[in-house]
Formats: sequence, structure tokens, C-alpha cells
Amino acid sequence: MRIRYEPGTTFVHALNPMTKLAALVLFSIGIFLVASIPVEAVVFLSLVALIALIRARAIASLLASRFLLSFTVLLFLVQVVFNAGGAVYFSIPLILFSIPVTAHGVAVGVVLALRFVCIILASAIFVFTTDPGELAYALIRAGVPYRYGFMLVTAIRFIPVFEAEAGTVRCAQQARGLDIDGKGFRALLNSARYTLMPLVVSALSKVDVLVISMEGRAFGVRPRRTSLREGRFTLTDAAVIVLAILVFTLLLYFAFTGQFQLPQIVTYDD
Amino acid sequence: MKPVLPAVSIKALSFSFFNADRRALDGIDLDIPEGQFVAITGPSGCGKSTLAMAIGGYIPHVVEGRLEGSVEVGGLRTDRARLADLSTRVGIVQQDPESQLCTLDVDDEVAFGPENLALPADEVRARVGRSLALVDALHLRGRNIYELSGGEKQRVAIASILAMAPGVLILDEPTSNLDPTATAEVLAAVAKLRQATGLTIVVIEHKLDRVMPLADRLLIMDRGRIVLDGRPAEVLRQYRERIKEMGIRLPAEPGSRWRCAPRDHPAPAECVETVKVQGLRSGYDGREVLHDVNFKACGGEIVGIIGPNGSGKTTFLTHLLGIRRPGQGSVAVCGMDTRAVKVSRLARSAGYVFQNPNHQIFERTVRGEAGFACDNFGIGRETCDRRVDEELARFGLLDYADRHPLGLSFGEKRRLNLCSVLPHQPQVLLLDEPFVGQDFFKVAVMMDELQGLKREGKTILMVSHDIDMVYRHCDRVVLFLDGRIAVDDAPEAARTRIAALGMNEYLPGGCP
Amino acid sequence: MASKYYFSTRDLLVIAVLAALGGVLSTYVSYLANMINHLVGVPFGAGNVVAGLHVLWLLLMIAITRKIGAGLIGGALKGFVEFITGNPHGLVVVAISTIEGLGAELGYWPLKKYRTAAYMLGGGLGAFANVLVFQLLYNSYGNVYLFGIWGGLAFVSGAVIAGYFTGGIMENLEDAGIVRREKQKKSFLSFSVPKAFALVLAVAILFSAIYYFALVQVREDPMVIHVTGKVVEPKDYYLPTYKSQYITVNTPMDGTYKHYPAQDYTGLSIDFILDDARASPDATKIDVVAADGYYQTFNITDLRGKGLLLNVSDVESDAEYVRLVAPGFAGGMWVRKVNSIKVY
Repeated sequence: MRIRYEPGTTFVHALNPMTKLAALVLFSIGIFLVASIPVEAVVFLSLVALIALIRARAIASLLASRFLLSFTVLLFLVQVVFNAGGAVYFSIPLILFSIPVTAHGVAVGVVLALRFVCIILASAIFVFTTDPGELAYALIRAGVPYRYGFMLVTAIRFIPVFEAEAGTVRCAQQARGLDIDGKGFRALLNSARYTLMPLVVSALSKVDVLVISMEGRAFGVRPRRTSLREGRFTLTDAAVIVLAILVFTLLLYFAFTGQFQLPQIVTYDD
Repeated sequence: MKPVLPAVSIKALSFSFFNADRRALDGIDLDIPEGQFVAITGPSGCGKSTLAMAIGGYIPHVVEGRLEGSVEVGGLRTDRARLADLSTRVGIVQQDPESQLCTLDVDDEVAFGPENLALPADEVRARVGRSLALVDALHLRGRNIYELSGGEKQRVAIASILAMAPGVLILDEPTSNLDPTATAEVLAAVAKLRQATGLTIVVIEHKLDRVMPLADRLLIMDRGRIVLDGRPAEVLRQYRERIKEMGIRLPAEPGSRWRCAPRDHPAPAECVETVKVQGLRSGYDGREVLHDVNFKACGGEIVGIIGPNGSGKTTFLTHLLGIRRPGQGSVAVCGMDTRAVKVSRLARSAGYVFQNPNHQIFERTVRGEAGFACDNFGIGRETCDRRVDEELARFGLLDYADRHPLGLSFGEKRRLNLCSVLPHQPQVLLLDEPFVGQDFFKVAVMMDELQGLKREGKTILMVSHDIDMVYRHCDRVVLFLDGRIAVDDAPEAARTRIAALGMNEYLPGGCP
Repeated sequence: MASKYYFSTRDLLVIAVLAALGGVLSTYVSYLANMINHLVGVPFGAGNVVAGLHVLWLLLMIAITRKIGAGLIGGALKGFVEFITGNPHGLVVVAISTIEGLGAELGYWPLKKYRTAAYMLGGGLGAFANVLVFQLLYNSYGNVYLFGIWGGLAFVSGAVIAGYFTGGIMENLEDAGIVRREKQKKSFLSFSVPKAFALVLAVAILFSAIYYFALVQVREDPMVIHVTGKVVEPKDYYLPTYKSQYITVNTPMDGTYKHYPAQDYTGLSIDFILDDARASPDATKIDVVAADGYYQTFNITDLRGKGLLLNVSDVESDAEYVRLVAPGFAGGMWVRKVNSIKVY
């Protein structure tokens, strides 16, 4: 169910990773400034259209995943329960009291649920179309100090290694008679204990080798380093960034000056 | 002729690690002239890797401990110079091919050093090309590091050091984690380097027979000291017995006949079948790894499994524990069909030792670790305790019983791993590379114990890159190639057939 | 040899590999949460109970590198790793993880001499941060009380889980000589169940107290109403000072599901407020806004002279808050917990 980067040739793939990251961050903040069902519905549908356009089947299946559905429904219900106000559609009678399902509650619920889904979808599109390695190098080019940027490179480098090792450790547990499918808190506690410790030890043993390998190749000696990887920055990148910044600035401006009323949750009771 | 300057000059060097009382290096004096190819060997724990760290300047810059004496490399004293300045004079290739590569693809990795030096991009590009060409790895350009084989990774690691243009190149057991095919590949690259460049090369190696032909000089270390030093052939001729006593495996004597050993431990006449594999096909990630494998093994038999990495050896072994289930065909261990029985039940009958000790040490004391499986299987505490102590004594670990298992040396950890699957007395033992990190003596002790277990009627299957050991001690040699069993025969016959296949790396040492 | 940087290469690499490992194992942690849910028989909720296992990595980074800031950048890095490996929460996980790192730092450093306590407080605050971010972003827990309960639960479980595991792993690493043992005050260190329980209890009480006073009690004075928008004098009305201006109306309330017969309500009238703040003549509407953001809009012409007022005591409970009494308007328009009035 997890979305992973899949190489591709779509225009979203071709964008500079920093462009996408900037757009994603602005989008994710911006969506909190808008509280309107129609606007968010349009945003949601545009994201779905984009997903269809880049043929991201994995994201489509994320949309129907249990995680997304259950979390969204839960979020919605909590808002309905705790944001009563406005017209009451109907009441859910409980033993001691009843929960009114109100216009305001439903509106808040839908807005928050849509926000949640939109951020997830936008993030998924980013992850699906962006090579993590390219992203790390792009961050360094964009000014993240390279010693820190390389932490991301190294982390990405060892993700598949640790995934394989985690599998081996699980096998080793079974081979020594540990019932890894055991039920009960004790079994879970043991499972966690015997999984974490070997992997932490293995990870730290890699540090010893890496320190020598990296410092032995002058890592951190100079304040700046050469980079053979070059970022491509196209007109499309420029357009996307300008658009994202423009929309975001306008949203901010309106939100704080109130010159133009941003759509808000409005519940009239008549 | 210009005078040959020492590339490395070591005077009265001693060193002890922060967590140990013993001196890892004890009064080393050594000059290595420029352009020399030096091989260093010695029993495990003799300080040869520590010496490599000291020459590279990582002692004292990275590794903590107490240092006396001095090391000069390319005219710089390592303890006074910055590591950055040393990095362009001496480079080290480490043992573990996986952990020393820190970037995502081959170009990045080789460019890593020159980029850190902030060299102009054109110069970096030129160095990347040149270094990769030196190790015959130009075809790897643009490949993802994670997808490389061990041998390819090790060659990329060498190239990435060459790109720093050091005068001295140290290779610390560069092949000990590699299969024979990759070992040959890496050593060929090293041989080419020696020819093509004027580099001073220091190789730390325990596979003497492979490095010997390349070396100008052989150093033998023991207990932190250099005990023998000279031309390889002379050292070996003069001190043969002494070297043997130290537990170093010698290359076969020229002209000596290769001996097929398990004569003294004959296989049983009658076969009690413990492992039966029929028409096994299996794979993962949508790729078939094993194609129609048929295999059986009897009680009282030691079977050695050899073959290149990726040929399906380990996958095959995991099927015998039921960790993987057959796609087609069947696997039965002690009469249990692996598809019908839980892994934890199979594990009671089949003891599996994995390759990396860190992945299978769970407890906090050596004794607890050895008894872990026994306890999990619910065998009575007293029985477990008694058997655990027996096994620890057998493998020379009883003195460490209350120590932390992770504080042991690599070789000790491997023996502990073996001890940990014995107290519950499984009928079948599945061992993945049991001899890595063991010196000659320890291997002999382990082999004796394994022969003892064999006499008790156990079946032992071991995957090993240590080809000599396999031929010498196994009743059968099984060669895996591309997911198939290519050869399955008694050692003598297997040798003939493998030779016919042209797989010379899989023939015992001393054989043509 | 001292590194010329605050974080040496080794520190950075410790952070990087632990972040990668933590990212890889976060799937496993969700699996554990699922198992706990199954055990307890509820469909969700254990995510916060095992949040301590996410904070564990950050505490390990701090404990191994012994550098202030390791948890924070480690948190950000781990969040990033989880984000690009497809954590379903998307970019939000970066925020969560970073704040977890901040929580871990805030908990660890003040108590670093008593390490188990430091791990526990760090784990508790880190796990609480997880709940906090969800509340801030999505109002996940609805109201402040449920949030408080959930946050407290996360705190306690985070303290126990992260305390237990971090302590165990660090001790293991030191015994094995992988991490150099630090001189420590032994008295507080050894992990025993009663001691841990007492500590958790003490911290939980402390935490609830802080939480109660910081978040529940010391909110804005509920008697103050801000009047903003098209008025000559935007100002704050502290109702009790206007007691002399109070008026009384007698009206029933007809809500959709609640009906109260006619009764007397006393309070400050909206007409007075609009006049007093000198609402602009071209203003046509007002929003009566509640503290939780709920609001209702009235046409000024509709409400003039209808006797709308801000009433202090509540009909249903003794809780003191300001509610709008709107004679002639439906019950839904009787905004409760009024906090401001916007004129436009």
C-alpha cells in the first residue's frame, strides 16, 4: 500500500524535485487557509485528475485503502460530534444523551476530511514522481549544508539494506523458536525487543565503517564541494513555482487582511 | 637511479582500544618503500586490521584509544596531520563491501572524494573515468549501488579510493565477504593496479595462496607484533612449521597432491533420509530463483554447498527451515512437509545459523544467548543449562559465559551462533558460512566438533566460500549454478566434474 | 580528536542510519499497533500507544551522540525518510517527527543525569507531540478534553515504552562495548517496575497539572468580547464593567430540538455595543463569533430593536460563558461562548 517512487516520463516526473517540494509545502499550508467544501472538492478532483493523468495506479489504490478510508471517516465523525451547531439534520440517540448531527458539524467534518485527503494525495503524487536521491542532491544544491544533505543520501542508501536485514532478523527469530506470530502483550513485547536490538547493533556497526570510508575521502573538509549532478530547471519549473507562490501569497494576504473574504464554513439556520 | 623513499614509516607503534586492556599493536617498526606490494597476514585478532587503521591515520583520528610511537605516510605524521591531508596520500578499502559505500550510484560514489576536495568538475569527471577503468568497472557507470554484487561493490570501493589519487592503497581483507568468483574478480583488479600504477599497495589477507603471487613482501603478525618479514616464498620456505603453529592456513605446497579427507570419518553405509527435496521451484519478487531442484541428505552426512552468490544457495537453505515455501515440488525435513508445519516446529528439528552474527544475537549474556532457542522450545531449564554449558565448553566459549555476546570477536560470535542451535539437539544443521573469521586452529576445532555431531547421526549442510574446507571435510560437494544443482557428488568426483565445467575458482587450492 | 564541527561525521552518521532504520521499521511499528488493537478489540487507537517506539530512535540519537539538537534534526530526517518511503500521512509526517524530536529533547536534557527518567520524560513528551500535531492540524480529537485524555495516554505510554526500550538498548550497547559507558548517577538509574510506575505517575500528575493550567484554565477571559470590523472604535468589552447598561428581555427559545419557555435574560444589548463602538453607517451585517470558530451572521437592520443581548449565565449549567440571546431568532442562532463580534 505504501507509495514508492516509480520512474516515469510524465511532466510531473520531469519537474525539478525542489519545484515539487516547494509546491507541495505551499499547497499543504495553503489548504489550511481555505475552509470551503466547494473549493476543496475542486482541489480534490484536480488531484484525482492529475493522478489519472500520470497513471499512478498505486495512488489510486491508496485512495481505496483501509487506512485512508477509516482515518477519514473517523476524522469526520469526531468533527460531527464535537462541532454541533446550526440546523440539526437528525439525532443519534444514545442511552444517556443523543448526538445531534448538525449542519455545522457536517460542514466542519467534510472540510477537515477533505483537507486530510488532499494533503495525502498531493504527498503521494510527490513521492510517486520524485527520485529520493535526486531530491537529496537538489536540497544540497538549494542550500542545505552538504554534510546534512548527505545524511539524507546515506539514509536513503541504507533503506533497502535495512529492509533486507529486518527480514533476516525475523527469519533468525523463527529459526531460534521464537513464535513471531504470537498473540498477547508479552509476545509483542518480545517481538519488539528481539527485533530492535539486533538491527540497532547492525546499524551502528555500519557507522564504524562509514566514518572511515567518508572521512577517508575528505568528507567535511571544505565548506563547499563540487557536484557532478546538475539540476535541470525548465520553464515548466518556473511556471509551477510562480503559480504556487502567487496562489499562496494571495491566500495569505486575504486571510490576514480580510480584504477579500476567503470562503469559510457558513451555516445559516433559516 | 633515484633513492627509493619509504612511503610508510612506522616507529615503535603501540595501540590499545578504549575498551580493552590488551595492546592491539605492540611495538611495531616498519618501513614500506614506495611502489612495494606488501601482504600482511596473521591469525584473527593479531592486529593486522588495527595496523591498517594506523597507517591510514584513522588511529588516532577516528578510532579512540591510546597511541604510542609514530606513523609517517608520504612525509606526514598521521597523528599531527589533518585527516583531510592524509586522505590524498593514503586510502583504505575495507572488508565489508556493503557498509563502506555511502551514496546511491556508482558515479556518485567514485566522485565522492574528489567532490569533497572541491576539485573542478572536469577534473572530477576525468578521475571517475580513470579510476573505474583501472578496476575494469567502466560498465558499471550509472548503476544503482544497491543492485551491485559484492565483487562489483568492492571494485567500486577501490575505484572510489583511487579517485583520491593516494600514494598508498590499503586493502583490508577485501575479499573475505566475497564468493570465490568475486574474489577472483577483485584480486584480478588488484593485480592490474599493481601493473598499471606505481602505487604502494598493502593487502591484508588470510587467503594467502591468492595474494602470494602478487606480493613483493610478506609480513606475518601475531599478538600485535610483526613476527616474520621477507620475500613471500622465502618466508614460507624457512618458517613453514612456525607459521602453521600460529594457526595460519598455508597455501598448498607446490607439487603436493590434493588430499580428499573424509576418509577418517566415513559416511554411514545405510542412509536414514533426513532431507528430501523434489522438483523444487521457488522464487520471490516475481522472479524464479530455484529451478527444479532435487536433493536428499542422510543422517551422519556432511554436505558442502558451494557456488557464486545469487545462485540460490541461501534461498535453498531457507526452504529447509520453511522460511520460504516451495512454489512447486516439495521439501521434507525429518519427514515433515514444510508446507504443512510451522517454522517454529521445523526449527526444533533443523538448526539454522545465518551469515551475519549481528542479525541473530538476541540475549545479553553468552550463556543466555546459547540457551535462547532451548528455552523457547520449552525444554526444561535444567536440561537446557546443562547442555548449554557443554556446548560452550566444546567451542571454547565457557570462559565468556557471563560476558555480553556482542562484545565477543567476530570469530567468537560465529562459534556462539553455532552453539546457540545445538542445545535443543536438532537432527539437521543448516550452516551459512560458518568459517568466516575463524583462524586455522578454530576451523580445525569446529570441524572436529562437526565430525562428532556427524557421528551422532546428524545431517550437516553448510554453505561456504571456503572451498578447501568443503573438499577436505564434506562427504558430498554440491555446486549451485543459476538456481540449479549443477554438481552433486563425492569430493573426488565433484572435483573432476567442476573442473570440466571450467569453474576453477571452485576447485580446491593447489589444483590446476 | 575534536571535530571542527558541532556534529562530527560520526554523529551525523549515527543520526542518519538510525533515521533510516526507524523509517524502515515504522511499518513494523504500525503492525504492532494493529496487533494491540486486535488484542484490545477496538479498530483503532493504539497508534498513540506505540508512538513511544517512534520516539525511541530520536532518544537513541540523543543518547549516543550526546549532542543537543540531535533529536531535532534526527526527527526531521526520520520524518523525511518516512515521507519519501511513502508514509501514508504524506508531508505531515515530517512535521510530526520533527515535533517528536523537539519533545524528546525537551524531556531528555533537563534530566540527563538520571537517564532512565530522561528517556521516560523524553519519550512521553515525544509521544504527546504526536497527538498534539494531529490535534493542531486536523482537530483530530474534537474538543480539548478528549485531546487532554488522549494526550495524557500517549504521554504515559510513550514514557513507558520509550523509557523501557531506550534504557534497555543503551544498556545493552554499553555492556557490549559498542557505545562508551557514560559515568552516571547510579541511584536513579536502575529500572525497576515500582520505581518506573512511581515516576510515570509523578510525571503524569505534573503533566496533567501543567496541561490543565496552561491549556484549559488560562485561556482568554471568557467575559471579554472583541468588537472589530467597520467600527470607529474597535474595542474589547469586559462585560461586568458594563453592568449598569444591562437590559432584560423575556423570550422563549425555539431550537430544532430544544425548546425553552419564555423567561427573563439579562445582559449587555447588541444595540448598545454597536452604538458604543460606533458602527459605521454603511455596515450591513455582523458576525457573532464563538471561541471555537462557530459563528452566525445577522443583518444589522434585522436585529436593531429586537432586544438581542449577550447573557452571561447559561440556562443549562452553571458554567460562566457569554451566550447570545436572540429573541425571535431560531435556537441555532443563539451563539454560545461568544468571543467576538465582527461588523462589516
